[in-house]
Amino acid sequence: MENINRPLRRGFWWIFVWMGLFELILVLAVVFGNLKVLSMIRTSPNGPALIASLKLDSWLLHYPVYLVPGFLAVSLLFSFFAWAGVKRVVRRFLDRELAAAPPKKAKKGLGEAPEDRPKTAREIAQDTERQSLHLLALLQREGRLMDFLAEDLTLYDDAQIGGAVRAVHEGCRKLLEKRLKPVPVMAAEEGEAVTIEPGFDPAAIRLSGNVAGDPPFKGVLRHKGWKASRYEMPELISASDPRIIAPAEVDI
Amino acid sequence: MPEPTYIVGIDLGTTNSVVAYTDAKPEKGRPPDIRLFRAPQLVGPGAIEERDTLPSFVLLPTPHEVAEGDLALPWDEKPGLAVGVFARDRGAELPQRLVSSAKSWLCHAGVDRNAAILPWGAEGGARKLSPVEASTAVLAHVTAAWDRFMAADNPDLALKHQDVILTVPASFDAVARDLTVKAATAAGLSVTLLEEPQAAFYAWIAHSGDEWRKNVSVGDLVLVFDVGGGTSDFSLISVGEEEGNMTLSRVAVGDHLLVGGDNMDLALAYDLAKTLAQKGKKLDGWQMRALWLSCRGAKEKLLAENGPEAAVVTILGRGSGLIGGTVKTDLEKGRITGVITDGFFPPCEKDAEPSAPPRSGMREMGLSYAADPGVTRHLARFLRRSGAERPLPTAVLFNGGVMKAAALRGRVREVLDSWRDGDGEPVRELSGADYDLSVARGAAVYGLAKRGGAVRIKGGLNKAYYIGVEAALPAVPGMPAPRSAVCVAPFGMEEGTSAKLSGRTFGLVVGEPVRFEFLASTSRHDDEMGVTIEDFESELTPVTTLETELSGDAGSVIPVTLEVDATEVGTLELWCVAEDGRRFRLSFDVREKEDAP
Repeated sequence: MENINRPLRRGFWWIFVWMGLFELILVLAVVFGNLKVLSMIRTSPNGPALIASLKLDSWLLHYPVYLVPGFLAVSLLFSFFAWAGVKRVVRRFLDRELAAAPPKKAKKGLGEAPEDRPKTAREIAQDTERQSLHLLALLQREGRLMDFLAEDLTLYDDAQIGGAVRAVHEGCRKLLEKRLKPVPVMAAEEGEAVTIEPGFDPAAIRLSGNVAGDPPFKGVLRHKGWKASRYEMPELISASDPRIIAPAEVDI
Repeated sequence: MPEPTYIVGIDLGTTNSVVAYTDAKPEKGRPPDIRLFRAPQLVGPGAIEERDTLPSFVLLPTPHEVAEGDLALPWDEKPGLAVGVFARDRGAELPQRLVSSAKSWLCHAGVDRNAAILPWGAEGGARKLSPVEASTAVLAHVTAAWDRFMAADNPDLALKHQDVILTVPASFDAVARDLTVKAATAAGLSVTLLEEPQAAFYAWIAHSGDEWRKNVSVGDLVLVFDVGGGTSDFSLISVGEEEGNMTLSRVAVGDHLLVGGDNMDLALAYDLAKTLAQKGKKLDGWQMRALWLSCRGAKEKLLAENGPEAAVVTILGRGSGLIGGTVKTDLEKGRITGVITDGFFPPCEKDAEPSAPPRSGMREMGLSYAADPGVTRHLARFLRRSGAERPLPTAVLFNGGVMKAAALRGRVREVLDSWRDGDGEPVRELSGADYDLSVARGAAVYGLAKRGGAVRIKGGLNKAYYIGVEAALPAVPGMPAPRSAVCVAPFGMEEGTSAKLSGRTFGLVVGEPVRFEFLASTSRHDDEMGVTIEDFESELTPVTTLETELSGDAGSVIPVTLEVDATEVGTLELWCVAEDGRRFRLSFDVREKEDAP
């Protein structure tokens, strides 16, 4: 974690500068306060005599100046302690962060173009098209879904279709598991009685039948729903026609 | 140069490469945290994704085959080639454009390894790479990906500034190691080499934590049995004791064996295709590849512990005739046992000998695949020739994707036990290995061990090396001068040491190329520096020739002695040293050799 040391070192100097500034203000305040006290004593009847006998002017005005280096030394010491504390906390935190996720903070988007020029409206539209058609292209590549959907099923008997479907199903399912990992929205078994708590998301849970009043509602789960628990798609930086779902194949 | 922040282990595999890394200065008392660098790569035309492994395939397509823009990477708009998943998958359809198994070509003495010869057999004006360049392409991809994702904001984190450990097969000879380092240098990396089976063992140590000392004991002999996608590699590691501390030393390494998981899947696919052909269903090349892939999946499923008895293999019809063209067949466990378990891991005797390659007058050049697919027979020979008389291994550590199959691990243990003739304990399996990723992880662990603290495996040179010299005898007409071989680097010579061949002086002619025959042996473990072997043809394998040219007054003869450095990096350097202290490096000749093994 060498790269964290530089900001930490800079942090130390900031702490030191602010501490020093604070103590300088403190010294100035003391000197000004003493000046005020001195002038008050001086104006009193036997003030000057008192000042001369107790050497008050040296005590109150000259000596505080010697405190400045002392204060600076103390501020240096304290900023060091403060810095050490901060460093410890930051390191602990970073260690825990790093243990949880590999240090890919420096990472840039995979698909970012090498030169970061703004995209034209046409390119953005093409990218959107490419992204949405890409899932179908992947389903075709891994599971031949496009070919299957385009087949005329009336030509074949069920056994033949069954054989092909197993392979299509396996390929598409593997792809979905890997890319989207669909999980049910509700964990209960279908047919079980469920309670819908207040604050539910109407987009995730669709109620039907006689819905009256406010939640909690009691009902029966008819469909568990599906939710993509991840979204892992390859980054696309191709410049070719986004509408190609599967290229034509020609043996030369 | 900045201090390295990370130790990076790169497993440059024959079929798959893996990159792992760990902090160079880990916190004391904590087990090392070894992470995987998931290499971003092309997975489809213009589609980029991070994957655990980077297939070591290089595709060199023309713009007609893959549009130029579809090869673009985040760090390079026009790389002109592809490395990784897309290269492998698209390359299957473009065999003339695909460089595969570049690593195996690196140790192929039959070709000029610096010449652009790959893809092997590509015709016309096809773009070609040398084996070294192909390895460089894979390493350069790793480097660029790392620099882009790990070092984008801090140039000090660039891969070239990290401590990089690159693994090589234990069987790699001095020349192949030298070329591997050259490939890494061309990719901008300075690396240290480590043998793959050793790396697997380091990974096992790291995985077991402090427990590993309980799982092996003094006197144990551990066989590392590594069957990867394209190659098989064996090593023996013995557990000893020194001043009360456990020590590990790598005592023997096997020869380079070109047989691996891909051969097994292919064998299974051909076997199934034969059955299908008998039923009147012919498969074309495209369907054959699909069958190959399905067989790989089915193999893993059926050979797993408590796997099913049969799996259905379906090959969909090509094009839009999806349903009509579908071929479906059952793959029973019995067939897999027959083809893979018995075909590649047959039960055999302790003194079994792998069958020799058929000697036909015309042999096509190309990779010299193992003629006998019986891995266990190769194992028997390896154990027999592993140097001194030794008992059989007491424990075995499996590595490589193939060994994920519990049935195959069981078979290897059975065969080892059958050689014991009922004596002693059955061989133990050291468990907890990650068969695919452990070599890269282990390389990172080794990097930490090298920095002190953790236990290290004593290895040293994996072969004994010799040079051929002509005996100083009166010439007999019609007879070649008798030659003998002198040992110049003994087996187990430690990295970072050098040795002198004292007592022998060679007279070299200045201004003329000087050549030495360079030979090696994996079985002669007791030869010391300077030992002479007469009649060495049957004992030693030729590696290459060494050559140098001395500068100075042409025609004069100067006496030189030989010096050998086993470098820290893991390569071997030979020097001719003149009396006045001048040194001339003897370089390996990697050009084509006619009498290549």
